[in-house]
Amino acid sequence: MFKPKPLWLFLSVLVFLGSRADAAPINSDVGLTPFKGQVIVRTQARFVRKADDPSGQNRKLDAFALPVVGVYGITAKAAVLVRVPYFNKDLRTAGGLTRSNQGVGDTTLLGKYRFYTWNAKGTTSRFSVIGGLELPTGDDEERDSAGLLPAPLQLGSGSVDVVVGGLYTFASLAQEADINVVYKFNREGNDFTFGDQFNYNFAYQKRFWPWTLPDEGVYTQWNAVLELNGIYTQRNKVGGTIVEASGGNTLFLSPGIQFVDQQTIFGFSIQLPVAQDLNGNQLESDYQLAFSFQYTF
Amino acid sequence: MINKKAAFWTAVLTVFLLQGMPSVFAQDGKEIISVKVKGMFCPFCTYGVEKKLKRLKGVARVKVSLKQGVAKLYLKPGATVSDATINQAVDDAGFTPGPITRSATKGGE
Repeated sequence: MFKPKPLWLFLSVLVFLGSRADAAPINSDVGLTPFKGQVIVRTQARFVRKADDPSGQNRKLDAFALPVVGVYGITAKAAVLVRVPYFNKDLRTAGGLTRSNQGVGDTTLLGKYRFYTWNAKGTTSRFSVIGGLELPTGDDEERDSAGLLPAPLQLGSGSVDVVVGGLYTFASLAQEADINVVYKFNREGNDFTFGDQFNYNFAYQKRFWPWTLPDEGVYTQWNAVLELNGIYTQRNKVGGTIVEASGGNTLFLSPGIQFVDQQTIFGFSIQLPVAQDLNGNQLESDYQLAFSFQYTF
Repeated sequence: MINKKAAFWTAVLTVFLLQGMPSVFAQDGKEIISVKVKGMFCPFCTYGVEKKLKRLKGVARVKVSLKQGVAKLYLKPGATVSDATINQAVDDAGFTPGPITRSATKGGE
């Protein structure tokens, strides 16, 4: 019998993506906000592989996600973000059965407000808060030949969930550092409740091209990116009963590279788990790949 | 009677002067405004400054220098833009405006 264990962490990672609103790390968010009237469209192709099965049951997860994010600057300090993800998930269960699902997931609506700013020549320091809802727009009653898919394989959670967070950025012409924490209060949907999740991230970027800046004009630049992306999740509940083999903590080390010009940002990152403390016999992460693209109008 | 040689050189001189005159007239009355922009740190964030300043009435073009932290506004002939308007545009772009200096157009700029 299939037990709904392994996908919660995958979903946790994806929920956090896409609230960014400016030049930023690849896997986490920033304290920056768009300018008044600015429209940014951002997407990120993300591939997740989890094939390390401590239970010896040879389970495996391959998942692909493509969240599309629209950002609008209401003022220079306040912005709204809409995120709609596309998922493709393939899970090989303990019995050797492959269960799949693909389609549009839950839509996230976020507000972001920057309430601290310190600016100097070529340098800025900013702190913002975000808050919003994840709405149950994804199908949460999908079935396959084996019956109703388990909640973690569904495209949507079936619940309205609340997201809050704080984001700090210090940036200069040569480098940038970002720290952020985001908490998601998950609620019950279809008799299933994902555990609350806490994302904590630190990111550092260093411009390596051009090494020396031209005296005049605006240039395109390449950054080396190194992030620590942490996710702590509480245990899930089915019908009010705690699922022991769920929840835990995972920390990724995420090196990457980023191209930035005036209207476009490309990025690539690989996320490697450096610490995984998961409850019970859950699938552990092997790696994640992320290709990001951002364009402003 | 007109001396042919003098007429020729007069014509050459006239053509030379007429070629030079339009650029002199075109530059007459143009103003360049330079504003310090605090907080710009990457190419992506300069886009907002350029966009906001270009939209101001009377501005012909804008040139941003990231390293210098300066935006230069090249105004149309006879146009003027107030300091308050410039400061508001920089603020709307998410940055802090600094001192503003004004000068007349120089050749080649």
